[in-house]
Amino acid sequence: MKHSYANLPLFFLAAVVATCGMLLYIYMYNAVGAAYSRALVARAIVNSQKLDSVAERSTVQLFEKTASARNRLSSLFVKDVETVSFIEDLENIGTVVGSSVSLSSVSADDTTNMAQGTFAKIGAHIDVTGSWQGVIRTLMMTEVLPYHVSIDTVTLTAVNSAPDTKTTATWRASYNVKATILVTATSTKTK
Amino acid sequence: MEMEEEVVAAELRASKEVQNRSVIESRLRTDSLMIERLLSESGNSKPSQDIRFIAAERGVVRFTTISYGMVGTSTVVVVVQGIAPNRNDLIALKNKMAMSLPMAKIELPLSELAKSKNVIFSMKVSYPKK
Repeated sequence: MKHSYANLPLFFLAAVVATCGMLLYIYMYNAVGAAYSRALVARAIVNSQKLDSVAERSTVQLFEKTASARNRLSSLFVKDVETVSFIEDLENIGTVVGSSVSLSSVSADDTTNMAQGTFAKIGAHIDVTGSWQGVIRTLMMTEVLPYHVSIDTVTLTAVNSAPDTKTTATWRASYNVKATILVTATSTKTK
Repeated sequence: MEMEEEVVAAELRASKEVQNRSVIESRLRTDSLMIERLLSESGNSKPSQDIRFIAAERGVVRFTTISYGMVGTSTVVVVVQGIAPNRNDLIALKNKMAMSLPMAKIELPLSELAKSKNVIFSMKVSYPKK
C-alpha cells in the first residue's frame, strides 16, 4: 500500500490554525472575563457615586432649607462686637418697664486673640427697684431678651412693705444674667 | 480641543463641588458647636413664672423676701420669708402650696409656729425644674 504525503503540510497547517484558534479563544475568553469584572466594578462605583451625589444633593437642599433657622442660631449668642449693646439692652429694660435698673457689675471674658467661632462668657449683676409689677416685668423682660440667657440667684425683697398688699410696696430685686459671646471673624485681633 | 475644554470644565465643576462641600461641612461644624453649647447651658430659665406662681398663693400672708435659686441643674429652690397674721394662715399657705406643687418638698420648721400671731417665718420650697 502506497501512502501519499502530499496532504501532510495541509494537515500541519490545519493543526496550527486550530491550535492558534483555540489559544486565541482562551485568550479572548480570559480578556473578556477580566473586562467584564472591571466593568462590574466600574458600574458599582458609578452607582455608589450616583447615590452619593443624590445624598449630597439632599444634604445641600436641607442645608439651604435650614439656612434661616441656622442664621437665627447664631443670633442667640452675643457677638463679641455687640457686648456693649447687650449691656445697653439690659439697662434699657428699666426705661421700658418703668423701674429703676442698675448694673452693679459686668464681667466678660477677653475675646482678643480668640479664634473665630469660639465662645466666651458675659455676665452682669442687676439690681432693680420698683413696684412688685415693675420688678417682675423687668425680670420677665430680661428672660425674653433676644439672646440665650440664663438667670440665677434671684432675690426679691420688700423695701418698705405695706401692711396688706404687695402691689403698693417697693421691691428690690437682684439677679445674675449670663449669656454666651460668640467670637466672630471681624473682631479677631492680633497683638 | 473640545475634549480639553470638557476636561477643564469637569475639573472646574469638581473643584466647585469640593469647595461647596467644604463650605457646607465647615458651616455645619460651626452650627453643631453652637447647638452643643446651647444644650450644655441651662439657659432660658424662667424664674419670674415660678416667683409669680408662688406669690399668687400667698393669700393674707405677707412676703418680705423671695429667693429663687437652683441646686444643681434640675432642682429649683425658692425660699420665702414673710409675716403671717396667725399660725393657721401660715399652715393654710403651706397646705395650699403642697396642693399646687405636688412634686415639691416644703420645709417649714415647727419653731416658726411658736408664735400664734404675726408669725415671722421662712419657708423653703424645692421642686424639680420643669
